[in-house]
Amino acid sequence: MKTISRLLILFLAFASLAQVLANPKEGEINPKFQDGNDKPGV
Amino acid sequence: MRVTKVGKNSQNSIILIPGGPGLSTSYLRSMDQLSDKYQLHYLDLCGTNGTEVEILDAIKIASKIKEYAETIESGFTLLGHSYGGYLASKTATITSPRALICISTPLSSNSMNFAIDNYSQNRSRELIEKEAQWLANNSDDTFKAWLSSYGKLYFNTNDERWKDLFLKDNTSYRFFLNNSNDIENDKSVLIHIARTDFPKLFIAGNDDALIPPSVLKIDAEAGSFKYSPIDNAGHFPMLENPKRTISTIDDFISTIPPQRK
Repeated sequence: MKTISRLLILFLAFASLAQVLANPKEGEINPKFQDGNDKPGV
Repeated sequence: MRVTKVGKNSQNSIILIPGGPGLSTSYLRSMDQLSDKYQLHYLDLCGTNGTEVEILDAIKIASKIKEYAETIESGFTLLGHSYGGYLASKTATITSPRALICISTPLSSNSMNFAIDNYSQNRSRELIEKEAQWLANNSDDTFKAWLSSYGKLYFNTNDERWKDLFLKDNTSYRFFLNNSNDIENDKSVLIHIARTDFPKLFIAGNDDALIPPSVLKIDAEAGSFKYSPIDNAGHFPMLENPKRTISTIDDFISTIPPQRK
């Protein structure tokens, strides 16, 4: 039971992190802007 | 690579290279009026306007442009807008153009850093939304929608024509993904360009909100360009002030001797 709870907590933590990374805030550069995705079009 | 030729004067050619990377030559056609005096060679490559999607670094792209340019017997002027100006500059360092013209071109990591900062600090809500869609799913549709939402970052006036132009463009999102780090990674292009002896012109819109003209001017001076600002224009002066942009280009080329070897 304890193991399942820990796994669930870990899963929720990763899901939250993914959510944060997927939604940039105004003024922030999205961390997914990597390797060719981190430049504006010029 | 695909070349669209406009104009009959084969004795005085200009090769025009678009920016993005990944935008097609469509938006550069605002300069068709130059075809009264010059033969214009609009260059599409790496997937834009139906060309083959090729994964090439900037040096290989420059070699392809050089190979085409050197088929023009009477000589050529290289002209590029933004990233296209960087490609024109790379090409100019490995061949012998009559002249080089860069429009709104970041040629250093300093200029690119200003572009990145201005982009992140001044994105509209719409742009943030389109950016998220572009990042979640890279495609030409999301790429075009993203670029068409830049608004005041690109343009002085909020004109729906420009949005429409980008939404209908025959872009190559893969060209953007493969090559958008080129300028920042290139520490030597300005040094090499400064050493060349052909005439060089740098045009910038005075209202460019993506890369400040004062920053572009630093690159222009480092590369020994003649610097010409255009009023009432942002990052795309050929769209917002075509008359002044065209006359600046024409006046500059007119001062160059007819044949350079």
